[in-house]
Amino acid sequence: MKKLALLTLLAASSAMAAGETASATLTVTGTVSGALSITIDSAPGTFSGGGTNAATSDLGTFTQFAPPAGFVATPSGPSSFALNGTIGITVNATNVVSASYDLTAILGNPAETGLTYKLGAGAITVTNAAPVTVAAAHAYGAFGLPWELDVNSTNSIAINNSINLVATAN
Amino acid sequence: MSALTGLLLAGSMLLASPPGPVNGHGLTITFDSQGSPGMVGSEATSDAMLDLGSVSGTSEGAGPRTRAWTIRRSIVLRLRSDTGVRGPARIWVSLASDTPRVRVRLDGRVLSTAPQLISPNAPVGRPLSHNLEIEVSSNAAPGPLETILNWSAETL
Repeated sequence: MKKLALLTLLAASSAMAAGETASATLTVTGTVSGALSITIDSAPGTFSGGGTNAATSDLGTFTQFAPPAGFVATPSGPSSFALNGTIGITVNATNVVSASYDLTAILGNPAETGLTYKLGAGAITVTNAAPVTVAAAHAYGAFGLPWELDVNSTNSIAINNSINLVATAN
Repeated sequence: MSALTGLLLAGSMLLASPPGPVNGHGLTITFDSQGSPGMVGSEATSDAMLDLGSVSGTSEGAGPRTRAWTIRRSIVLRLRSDTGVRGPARIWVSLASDTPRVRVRLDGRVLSTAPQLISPNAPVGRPLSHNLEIEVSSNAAPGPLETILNWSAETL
């Protein structure tokens, strides 16, 4: 009985070795490029689009005495006050050698009359004329970008603008 | 009984081993550029190149907080037999060398320099689609990427 089983196995192995064979080579090439990603995680006002690179902040109707959620109002004159808040952003890098980046900002439209947009720890004034650096040599990851909105007007102001942020690896 | 068990194991190992370097015994493997975007010089040859071009975490849809990102491509190949054999066949794949910068998977199996049985029952003459995944660490330095996949097949 044992001999019979042995002969059967050897016959099966011979049949397998007689199969047609082939080989091939696939060479996969490419170039890995570095990339940055930036997302907006939070902002004052009614915030939507968090975690993407196109978020919206609706400040609603506000006054010095009833500022938008996430903003703190500080009077600066008889008809002026400053709103101070934070924009939460995350900048990550894949396959980038540098350890830091610069962040620039520019407004999509001219600042509304009576409003001044300021960003960054140094409260850098941002306009629609040219990008300005609002964070220099900043480490990758999440952080809060200070946002100050100076209001200087005795009239109501309709706000419809955008802040475009660009991160550039150093 | 114990002797018989030993023989059965030996027989199984032979069945699972890829064919040796001898090639061209009526069977060929060709890559299909129609179903494999980026495939170059593949028609009717057994040596093809898949050019990924410039790839990045952004281009491949990596999330914002990812430690690694993955390049995904479809590979279509075909087994052809000069003798009219219709199969089935077994297909093994291995890497020509280790790739420390990336992890290569085919149909979900991590590839290495040891042959992996990818298709145990592949038909001859019909297109066969496989999913190639190359996982790149986000911390890896940018630069050229190259990996070579060695394919072998044997009809049953």
